Amino acid sequence: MRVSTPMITGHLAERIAANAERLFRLQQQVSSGKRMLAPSDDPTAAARAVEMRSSLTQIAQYADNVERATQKLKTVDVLLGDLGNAIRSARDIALQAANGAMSADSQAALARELDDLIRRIMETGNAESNGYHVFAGYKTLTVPFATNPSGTPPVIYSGDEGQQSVEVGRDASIVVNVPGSVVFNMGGTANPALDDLFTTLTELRDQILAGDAAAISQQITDIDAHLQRVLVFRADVGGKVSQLDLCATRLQGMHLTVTDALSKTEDVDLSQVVVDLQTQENIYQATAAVAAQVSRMTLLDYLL
Amino acid sequence: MSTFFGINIALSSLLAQQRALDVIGHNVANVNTPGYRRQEAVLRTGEPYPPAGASALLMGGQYGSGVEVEMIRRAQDAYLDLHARTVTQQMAQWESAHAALQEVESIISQTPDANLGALLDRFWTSWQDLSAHPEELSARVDVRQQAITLTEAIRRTVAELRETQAGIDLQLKGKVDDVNRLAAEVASLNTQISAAQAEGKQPNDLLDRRDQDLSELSRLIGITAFATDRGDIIANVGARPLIQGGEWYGIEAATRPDGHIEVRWQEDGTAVRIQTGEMAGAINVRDTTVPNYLAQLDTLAQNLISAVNAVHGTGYGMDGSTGVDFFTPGATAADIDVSAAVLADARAIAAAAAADSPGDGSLALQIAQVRDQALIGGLTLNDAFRSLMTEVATTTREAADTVAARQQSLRQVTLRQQSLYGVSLDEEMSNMIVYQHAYEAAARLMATLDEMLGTLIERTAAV
Repeated sequence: MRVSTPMITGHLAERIAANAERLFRLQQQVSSGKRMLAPSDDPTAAARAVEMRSSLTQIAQYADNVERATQKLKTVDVLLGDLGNAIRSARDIALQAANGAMSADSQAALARELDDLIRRIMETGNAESNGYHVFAGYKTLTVPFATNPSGTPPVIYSGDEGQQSVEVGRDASIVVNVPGSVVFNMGGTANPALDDLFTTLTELRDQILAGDAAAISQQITDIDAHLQRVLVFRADVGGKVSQLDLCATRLQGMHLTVTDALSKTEDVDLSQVVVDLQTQENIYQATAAVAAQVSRMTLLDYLL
Repeated sequence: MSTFFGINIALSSLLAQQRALDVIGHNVANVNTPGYRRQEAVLRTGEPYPPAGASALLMGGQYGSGVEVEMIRRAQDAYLDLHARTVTQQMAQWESAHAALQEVESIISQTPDANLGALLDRFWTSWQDLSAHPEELSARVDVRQQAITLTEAIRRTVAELRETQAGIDLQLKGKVDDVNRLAAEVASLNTQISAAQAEGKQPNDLLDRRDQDLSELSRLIGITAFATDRGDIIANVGARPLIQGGEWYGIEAATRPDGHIEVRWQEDGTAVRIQTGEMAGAINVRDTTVPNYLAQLDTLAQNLISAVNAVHGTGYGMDGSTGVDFFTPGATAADIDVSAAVLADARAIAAAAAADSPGDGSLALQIAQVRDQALIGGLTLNDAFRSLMTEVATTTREAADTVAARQQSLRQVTLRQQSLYGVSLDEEMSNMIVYQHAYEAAARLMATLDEMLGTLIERTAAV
């Protein structure tokens, strides 16, 4: 093939330019740490990266939700514990009163103790967390339990049965509250055959003042039923907290896995690129040296 | 037969070698001129004496009369040139398409944390956050902010895509002017070349200029060119003549009803059928590719609006309102926005499914779950965006690969052209020596004949 002068110079220029382009690209990869400088560099990998980022955002949100749910449930747990203790104390008072004749003073003293307990229980029912009532269902801004001015039933519940759900995974949500109507059996919501807790305890107080030992013994059965229910709820809440613990660990694991996969997809293998960079620089230097050599060769040097 | 016949032979050699050296000089001077094709002086023997047909009374028959330059031949290969133009226009088409596509790709894909997919994700998680804090105003303000960022990004993407289209329109205007200028030049060259060839001269440098212009025209608008017997060029665009001998037909950039530029024939206003070249590549991206992406963005926006509004309308806000649209209904990707009610007061954002339930975040959760609804042909909104981005990336990748392949083809053709047409300094130098020696020999011959004649004149019959 006939080789003309522009072919030689053109070819050398073109090769040097191609090398420079490759060098530049490698430099860009090193400085950005990313393998792909634009999605078109690797469309399938770019799509996967978008999906993985999406996953990470979701996982982070679920982890947040799990923490919030755990906090809420722990609060409920503590309150149910308080409630359980109060009910036990009431039971103790009932046992005392059922055990025999008491003086009017003792009766009055027990009745006052019971009144205090009832008040404490109502306070527990109206407890707030972060400024919102825990046992009010959805009506978290209003005080759920209030004394009934007309006397019967003794306490009115103005919350609702709302169940607050929190999403902790895809298609996985967890209820983080127990409505007051269920805990205290207002209006027989949890057990239609039973009065609500306040009514039970108020009746107990009246029975103590009346000295009706038989009725008091009867009432203890009701108190046990209330206590049982509260303990069951507490166990339920405890179970959920453990579940959430596992959830949190699992989410942490998933976050690590996806972050790792994302890095493998997007990030540049630094050691490989640095080696490539060195190789490319060598090629560049060699090409330039050859160019200098070849362009010096001409017949003109040997004529005349 | 004249006494000085021999001197004439020597003279013819001197002149011919000089001409040949001139041509070499021209080649050497133009070794770096783009589009220059090497020329060579073609030598042939002079007319023999006496001419055939006259009575051959002289001894020996016909005598040679020396050397003359028959013509200055220019290296050319019409098929190679045609092939080069074809490859050039294909490559130019894909190059301009690729350039536009790269712009489009960067508009749609942004940085990984800022693209529409990421913003959608943050929008959904803000609703999840609200569902866990339904009594909070701050959670609602956050939802509104994420929505504003998302809608702004969608609107901006549409605006930037439309800007790309406008940029192509501007480019086209400039290229139309270039095409007209080149067409006029080629037509004028056609006239000059035919005139010169009719007189038997070879207008080599004019031919070089014309080939350059034709190559440039191919790059811009994709022509099919062929030579007539008269040495003219007819250049067609989409089967209609752009240049016909000394005539040329101009094109113009006219505005279509949709606001974009259409290239039309000046003569009758019909559209020019541009099939390859830079203009074709850009037009294709403007009229087919970008509108496709804009349509997908519209579908995404419209489904986002209707799906979120449908759920939100059934919910209750912090201020007790219900039936409130979250996004302004009926908008497209170009004007999607958070509704005026929500912009005015974040309390109108509904989180509860029933009235008077401040602790109810179930509706906010429902809205967050719109994320998983298959709204667009079985795809979720996030999937639809990812699919769009993949389409853009793949199309751009394909264009880049095609450009590389065409560039490789062009390199091959150009190499063959340069091999055929390029000046080799070494070759010219060796030829120069050859002609130089011939000149010296002719000069020596001249001197010898001069001496011989001198002997004849001065020394014979001297009185």
